[in-house]
Amino acid sequence: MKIERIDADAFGPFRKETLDLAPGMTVVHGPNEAGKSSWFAAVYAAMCGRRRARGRGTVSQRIFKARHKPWRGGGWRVGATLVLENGRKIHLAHNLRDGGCVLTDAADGHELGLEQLEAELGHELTTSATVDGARFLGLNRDSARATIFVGQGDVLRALNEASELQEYLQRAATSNTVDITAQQALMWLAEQRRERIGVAHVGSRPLRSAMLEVEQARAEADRVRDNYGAFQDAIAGLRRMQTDLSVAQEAVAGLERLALQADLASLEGRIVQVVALTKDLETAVADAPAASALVREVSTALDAHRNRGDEPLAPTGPSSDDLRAQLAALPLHPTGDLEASTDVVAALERSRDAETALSTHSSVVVLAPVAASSSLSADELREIAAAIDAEPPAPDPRVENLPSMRDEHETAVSAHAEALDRHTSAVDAYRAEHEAYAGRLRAYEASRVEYETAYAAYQENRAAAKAPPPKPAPPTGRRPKLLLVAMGVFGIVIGLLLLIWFHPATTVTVVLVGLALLIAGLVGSKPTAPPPVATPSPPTEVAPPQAPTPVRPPETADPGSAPPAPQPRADIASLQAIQDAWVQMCERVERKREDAAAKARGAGLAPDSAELRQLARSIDSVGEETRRSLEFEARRNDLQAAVDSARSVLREALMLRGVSVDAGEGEALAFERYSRACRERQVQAAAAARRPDLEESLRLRVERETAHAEAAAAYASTKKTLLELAARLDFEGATLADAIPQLERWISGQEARRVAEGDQREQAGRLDEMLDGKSIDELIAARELLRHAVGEVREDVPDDLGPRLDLATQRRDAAATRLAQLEGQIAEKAAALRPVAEVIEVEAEAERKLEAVQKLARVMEIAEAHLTSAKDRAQATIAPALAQTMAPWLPRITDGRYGDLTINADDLMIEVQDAEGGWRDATLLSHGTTEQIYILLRLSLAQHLATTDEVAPMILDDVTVHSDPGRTIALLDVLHELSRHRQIVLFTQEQEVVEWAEQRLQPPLDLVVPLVGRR
Amino acid sequence: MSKLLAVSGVGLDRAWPSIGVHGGRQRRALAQRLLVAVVAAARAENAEALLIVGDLLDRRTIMPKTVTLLAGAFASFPGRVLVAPGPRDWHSANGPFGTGDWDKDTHIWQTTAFDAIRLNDSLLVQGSAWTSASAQTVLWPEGAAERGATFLVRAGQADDERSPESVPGAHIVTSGPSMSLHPGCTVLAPLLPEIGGQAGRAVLLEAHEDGQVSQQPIVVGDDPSETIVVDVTPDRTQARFESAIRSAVAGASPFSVIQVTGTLANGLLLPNYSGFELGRTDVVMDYSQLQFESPEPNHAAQDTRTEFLRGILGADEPDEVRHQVVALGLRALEAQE
Repeated sequence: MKIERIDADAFGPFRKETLDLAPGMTVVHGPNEAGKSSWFAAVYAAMCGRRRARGRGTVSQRIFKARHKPWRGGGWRVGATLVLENGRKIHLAHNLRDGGCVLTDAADGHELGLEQLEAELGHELTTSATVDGARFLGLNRDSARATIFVGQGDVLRALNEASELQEYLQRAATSNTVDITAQQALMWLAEQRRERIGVAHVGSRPLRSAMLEVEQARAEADRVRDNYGAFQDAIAGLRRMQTDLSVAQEAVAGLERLALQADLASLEGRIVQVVALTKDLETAVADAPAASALVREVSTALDAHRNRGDEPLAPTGPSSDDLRAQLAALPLHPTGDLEASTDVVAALERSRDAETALSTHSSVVVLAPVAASSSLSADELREIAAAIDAEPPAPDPRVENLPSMRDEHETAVSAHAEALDRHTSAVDAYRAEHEAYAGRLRAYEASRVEYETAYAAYQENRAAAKAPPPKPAPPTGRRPKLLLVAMGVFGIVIGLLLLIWFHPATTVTVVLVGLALLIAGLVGSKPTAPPPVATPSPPTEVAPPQAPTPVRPPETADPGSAPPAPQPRADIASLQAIQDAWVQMCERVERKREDAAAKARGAGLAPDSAELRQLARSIDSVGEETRRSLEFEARRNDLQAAVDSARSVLREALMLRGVSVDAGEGEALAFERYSRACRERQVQAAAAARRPDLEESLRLRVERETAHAEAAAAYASTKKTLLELAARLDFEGATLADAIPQLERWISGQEARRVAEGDQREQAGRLDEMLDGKSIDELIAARELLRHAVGEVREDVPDDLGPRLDLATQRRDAAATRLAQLEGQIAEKAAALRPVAEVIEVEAEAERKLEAVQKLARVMEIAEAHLTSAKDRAQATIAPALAQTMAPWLPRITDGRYGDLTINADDLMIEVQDAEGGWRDATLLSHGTTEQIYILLRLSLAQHLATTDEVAPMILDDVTVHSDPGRTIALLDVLHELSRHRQIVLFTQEQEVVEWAEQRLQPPLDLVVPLVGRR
Repeated sequence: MSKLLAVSGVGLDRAWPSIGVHGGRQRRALAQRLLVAVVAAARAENAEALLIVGDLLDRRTIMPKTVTLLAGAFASFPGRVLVAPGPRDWHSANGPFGTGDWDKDTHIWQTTAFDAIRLNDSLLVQGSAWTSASAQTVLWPEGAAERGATFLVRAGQADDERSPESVPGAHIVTSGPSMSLHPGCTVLAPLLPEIGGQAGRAVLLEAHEDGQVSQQPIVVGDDPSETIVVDVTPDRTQARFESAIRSAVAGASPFSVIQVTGTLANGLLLPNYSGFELGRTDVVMDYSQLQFESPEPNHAAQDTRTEFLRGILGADEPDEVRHQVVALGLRALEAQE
C-alpha cells in the first residue's frame, strides 16, 4: 500500500493544503516551524483516523487534539488517498472531531460502504468503531504508530532508555498492537488474580471470603438442623406424654367413681346415726348439779380436813426471852492490838540479835602483838636467803664432743695447704709453655707477611710474561680475617700477662677467647690464600715462594682452678659459744651468793639461809596480830552501834503502839507489858464475838414460836369449816363425826350429776357433727343424688382407696404439669426455630459463590500458563526472524563497523558483532548506532507485523539527527534501496539529507518536497 | 362414578438451593398457594377424595406451623384426603405424619404394605407408604375388587424412562419427574417442579362402576415462571452482551429460566468471570445451550497473542473454560482499561 496524497482540509496550521507523496521515496524538508511534524501527524491521522473519545478522552488523545486541532476556523478534517497493491485507490476523508470517515473510490469518486469494503477485503477496517486505514496492512492505528510511523520522540526514547529496544521488541513479540508486553499481560492477570481471587488462608479477598462464608453457612446449617432434630424429638416426646396423661386421667376417673360409692355408703351410715342420736337426746332427762363453787368449797374443806395431820407441838430449848438475856450480858469488842504487832516483834528480835552478836564478840580474847628486832625487812631477808642457797646452772652435754671436732678440722686445713702447693707448680709450667707458643706465633705471622708479598710479586711476573693468567679468586674477606687473627693473638698475649697478676680461671678464659679468634681468622683466610700446591705454574722460569708453616698451639692441659680451701665448721663455733655462756653464768651466781652473805653480816645476822627465813616469818607474824587486834576493836564498836540502833527502833515501835518506855524500865520490860495487854484484849474480844450467833438463834426461835401458833389456829379452823358447811347443807347432827360422812356422800352425788350432763353434751356435738350444718332432710336428699350418680353397679371399694386415689391424682397432675412444661418448651423452640430450608439455601448460595471464585481461579490459572508458554514460543520465533531481517542492513548503515546481529530468544536482548568478531550489547553502543539499529528494527517490524498482502509504507520524522554524515548517507542509501518496494516518506531539516535527496532521488518514483517556513 | 383429584410433589417447605433464600421463600409461599388451589379445585370438581401421591412436604425441612396449616387445609376439605408418603416425606412415628394433628378424614398410609380404603361401593383405594428415603421393592397387590374400580397408590415408581407395568383389574397411581397418562397407570408430575418446569399440574381421576378409570389433566393455581431465551450471537462486545443479559433478567418473572443461546463472541466473559452481577437470585441462568466462538489465529503471525490462541485452542478443556481463558488472555494482552 502506498499513500498518494494527504489532504489537510483543516488540521493544525493547514487549511486546504495537500501533500503529494511519491510511490518510492519522498523527502520532505524545511526549516524549523515549516510544518514537518504537523505533516507527519497529518499523514498519521489521514491514514488511521482518530479513536472516538469517550468524554474527555485519554491523555494522549487530549494531547493530540491540543497539538493538531485547526489553529483557526472550524472543522477538523484530514484525508488520504491510498493506493493498494492491486492498484485500487481509496480515499479516506476523516472527520477527526466526531470520528466519522467517508470512504470513496478515488478513481471515480463514488462513496464506498464500509461493510461492503470490509467484505470485499475480507477483514475489518475499523478500530474502536472508527475507520482505520492501518487495517489495510493488518495493523491498527496503535500498532501502526508503533511501527511504520517513526517520530523524533520514538528515537529519543530509544536513545535515552537503555532498555527501550528490548522492551519494544517484547511488545512486538507479544502482539501486533505493540502496546503491551507479555510480561505486562501476565502482571495484569496476576493483579486480577490478587484482586478477584486472593489466597485461601489470609486476607479478605473473594476466595477467602467465600470459603469463610461457606464455613459459616455450613456451621449455621448444622446448628439449625440439630435444633430441628431436637424439636422433632420434643414433638415425639409430647405425643408420648399426652398418652401418659390420658392413662393417668382414666385411672383417676375410675378411682373417683369408687370414691363416690364410698361416699354414698358413708352418708347412709351418717343418716342412721343422726336419727339415733336425735332420738336419744329427746329422751334423756337429768338433775342439774349444784353450784360448782359450793362443790369446790366442800371438796376443799374435806381435803383440808383429811390433810390436816397431827396437832402441832410447841418448840423446845431456850425461849426467846432467855436468849435476849444472854445477849444483854455480853461485853463490847475491845480497842487496841489483840496480839503483838509484827513490827514491834521484829524490832525486838533485831535488838536481841544485836545484843547477842555484841556479847559473842566481846567474849573472844585477843592478845597484844610482840615486836621483832632486825633492820632488814622480811622480803629482804628472804632474798638474801635465796641468794645464799642459789646453785650454778648445769653444763650442755654436747660440749663434751668439742675437742674431737677441733682435731678433725685442723687435719683438713693441713691437706688443703699441700694441694695448693701442687696447683701453683702446675700453673707455672702451663704459663711457660704458652709464652713459648706466643713467640712462635709472632714468627709465623712475620713469615706469612713475607710470603704474601713474594706471591704478589710472583703473580705480577706471570702476568707480564704471558697471556692473562686465570682470574684469581677475589680477595674477599681477607682483611677482616687478618683482623681476627690479630685480635686472637692480642687476646692470648693479654691472657698470659693476666696470669701473672690475676686468678688463673680469668686468664684461661681470656686466652681461650684469643685462641678462638686466632683460629677463626686462620681458617677463614685459607680459601682466599692461594694454596701452594694449587698454584698454576707460570710459563716463566721464576719459582713461586714457599708458604710458611703455621704454628700449633701448646698441647699442655690447663691446670684449672686452685683446690678449694676447707670451710670453717659452724658446729664447732656453736658449741664453743654454749660453753662460754655457761662459764659466765656460773661466775654470776657465785658473785650473788657472796654479796648476800656480806649484806647479812652487815645487818648483824649470820649468813644462814634458814635463820634468815625464820627471822622473816617472825617479822610477818607481829604485823598480822596487830592488824587483827585493830579489826576486833572496830568490829566491837560496830556491834555496839547496832545494839543501840536496834533498841532505838524497838522503842519507837512501842511508842507507835501506844506503849511508852519508862525510865529505868528498859525496852524489854516495856515489851512484856505491851504483850500482856494484848493477851487481855484477846480474851475480851473472844467473848464479844458470840453476839451474832446469839442474835441468829433468837431470830429462829421467834419464827418457830410464831409458826407453832399459826398451825395450832389452822388445825382448829378445819373442824369449824366442816361444821359450818354441814349446817349450810342442813345435815343432821352437830359433831364432826356426823358431818364428814354426809359431806362425802354429797360430793359423790354431785359428780354423778356432772358426768350425765357431759354425756348429753357429747351426743349433741356428735349430732351437730353428723349434720354438718345440714338438716336430716338435706342429708337424705344428698343420699339420693349420690345413689343416682353411683348407679346400680357397685364395685368393691378397696380399703386403701384414699391413698390410691391420692397417688393416681398426683401422677395425673405430674403428667399434666410435665406436659404443660413440654408444650411451653416446644412453643419456645418452635418460635425460635429457623427455617431449615433457608439455611440450606444460604449454604448453597455460599457454595455457589465459592465455586464461582474457584472456576474463575481455574480459568485465570490456565490463562497464565498458556500466556507464559506463548510468550516463550513467540520470543523464540520472532527473535531470529527479526535478526535475519536486520542483519544484512547492519554493516551498510554502520559503515562496516558491525557485521552481524543476534536477538536472544529468552530476553530479546540485541547484540551486535564488531569488526574484531566480538559481540556487544546493543544498549551499550553509541547514540548513532543505537538510533540506526532502532530504525532497522522498526523497518523489520513493519515487514514482520503486517499480516496482509499489502506492503506497509514507512514514515520517518527527523530520524538521522544523531548520526554522523557518513552513517546518515549510508542509512539514506538503505532507505532508498528499500523504497523500491516499500514507500518511504522522510521528513528532515538536515541540509546534507536534502543535498543527498536532490542528488539521488529521481522522479517520478522519488520526490523532494520543500516546505516554506511558516513563522 | 367417583372422582379423585390426584397431585404429587407439592414440596411444602422444601429448600430451593438454586435460587437463594429470597427466591426460596417465594417458592415455598407458592407451594402453599398451590396446595390451597388444589383443595379448592377438588372442591370445585366435587371430588370425593383428594389423593396426594408422595412428596407432599419435605420431612427434613418442614416447619411445625406449616404442618398445622396443612392439617387445617385438609380438614377444610369436605371429602377424604388420602396421603401416600413418598421419598421426601416418608412416614415414621416421629415424622410430621406421625406427630401432626390430622383430621379424622385425613388418612395417611403408614406401611410399605398396601392398605385398603374403601371410599364407596364403586371405589377401593389401596395405598402404600415410603417408610424410608431409600427405594423399596414394591409388591403390587393381586386381584381386583369384587366391584367397582381399584386404585393402587404408591409414590415414586416412574422416571423418565420407565413406568410401572399395569396390574390387571387395578389402576396404578404413582409419581415421576414428568406426567404421563396411560390406561391402567397415571404418573403424576410434581405440582411444584424444579425451576423451569411447569407448576400446578394435577390429574382428575374418575372411577366408574364398571371398573373403568378415566384421567383428565388439569392445571391449578398460577405459575408465573417462564423460560426466556436470549440469543447472544449478535452481541460482539462485552457491554452489549451484558446489556442483553441484564434486560432479560430484569424483565423475567420469578422462578424463570434465562436460557442463553447462540454463540458467545470471542473475548466476551460470562458474568461469573467478568464480575457482572445479575442482581437477582430468583431466576436461573442456563448456559447449557450456549455455543462458544472459537478464535482463528493468523497462521502467518507468530507473536505471543497468536501463540496463546494456538495453545489454548489445543488444550483439553471444556468449551466454556477454553472460551473464557481466551477472553481473559486477550483482555490481558490488549490495552487494559
